[in-house]
Amino acid sequence: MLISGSTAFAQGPVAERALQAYQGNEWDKAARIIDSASVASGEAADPFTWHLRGFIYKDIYKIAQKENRNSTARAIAIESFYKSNELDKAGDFTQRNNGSIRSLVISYFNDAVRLMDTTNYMESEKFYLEYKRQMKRFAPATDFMKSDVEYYNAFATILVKKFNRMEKGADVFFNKAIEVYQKVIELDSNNCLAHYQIGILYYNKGVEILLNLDPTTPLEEIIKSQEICVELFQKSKPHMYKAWELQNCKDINPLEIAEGLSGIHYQLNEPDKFKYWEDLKKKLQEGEDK
Amino acid sequence: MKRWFLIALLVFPTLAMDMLSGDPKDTHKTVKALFVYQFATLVDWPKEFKKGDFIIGVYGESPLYDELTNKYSNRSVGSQAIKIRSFQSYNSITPCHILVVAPEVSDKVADLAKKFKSSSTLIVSEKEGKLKEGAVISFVIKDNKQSYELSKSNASKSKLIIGSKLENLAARVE
Repeated sequence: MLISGSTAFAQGPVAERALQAYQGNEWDKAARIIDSASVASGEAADPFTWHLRGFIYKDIYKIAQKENRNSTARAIAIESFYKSNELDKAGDFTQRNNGSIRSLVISYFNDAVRLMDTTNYMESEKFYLEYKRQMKRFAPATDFMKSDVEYYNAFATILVKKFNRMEKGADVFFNKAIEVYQKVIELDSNNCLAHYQIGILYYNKGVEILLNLDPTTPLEEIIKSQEICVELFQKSKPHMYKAWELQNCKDINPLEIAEGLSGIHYQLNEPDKFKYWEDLKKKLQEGEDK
Repeated sequence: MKRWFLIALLVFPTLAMDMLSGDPKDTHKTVKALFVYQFATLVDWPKEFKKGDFIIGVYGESPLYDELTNKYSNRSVGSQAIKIRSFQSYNSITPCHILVVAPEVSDKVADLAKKFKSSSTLIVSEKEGKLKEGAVISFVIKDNKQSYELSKSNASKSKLIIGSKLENLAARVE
């Protein structure tokens, strides 16, 4: 039931008819009636009218439209609950209104999660931003740092997948992935995963360039390609070191970070540092084997 | 009317990437092989060595041998088909157009320079600092990059003419 005992509250005749239609699962009819009540002079000032309108549209979104994420019913439901709160001087509906607002706001977040794949990722961000906008209104003190970090780490992971799968135009995804990971680091400078991922992205790109050079590449291009790669490996290095210093990556084994550092120094032709990390790698490996 | 459950927050998936699969160290041999092929195309051999196969030998244990075999066996320098040879002992070495000397046997560079002076063998040392011992080209690391230094006088002793591009792009010329 929407509100147990809701009919105990005095309500106008239009809202009464809307309630009956709603209870009979006639959502479209209920919506038409409640919309007329929400502009009727007497009932428009009644918090119950808006409270009921919120539930009618919430059910349209959830049931009649099967949680169609582009349904406008969700936004109408939220606005109706806010309006009800505004008129609810006696506090009869506010608690339930807020419960519904919260669940609808969270549904934007969940849509963003569901859309986080290589096909729908751009639409995902739209829903994440809408979630933030709505949550700021509902709970202005909300700290989004943690969810932003998680969201953009996931978003960048998708971009990396796109980058790895595509041959032509993949640089767009490479650059965007770096940009998004940098955004994560701006939010949380000690985010180990983002540092590690940036390190790997630059490293892999450099190695890939070298391994894919045409065997007949002219001398000047070999030299130029190496310059580009050294720049990539140098960019990789501070991020991989930072990931190592942090040592708090829940998803990354320290052995993998040591392997990254060993690889970077190898590519930079720094034999002493390469040896240091190779030795450390072996020690870590022995520790794992025990 | 309907029952509503509290909607729980879902969790975003994040995955750590892997380094490129395979041995990350392969790039050194790849780059060196690219250079060796360029040495073949940018050096001029005396007329009598411009017929038959173009022989690139690798003396000692070096990953360059496999790399050269895989990528250059079916290629040519001008009209000469490239053949890659591996020499495991000093005495087994036969004349080549280019002889790459692995680091572990680099103490033999001086002997090789004398032995193959008349066969116009371009001796390329993988270990740096071998020009003074007779190598025409030594690989070196400069500014974190693979590069090479070359000796025009050693080239001249073997009647080899170094192309201007090869000379201009060298880390050092003596």
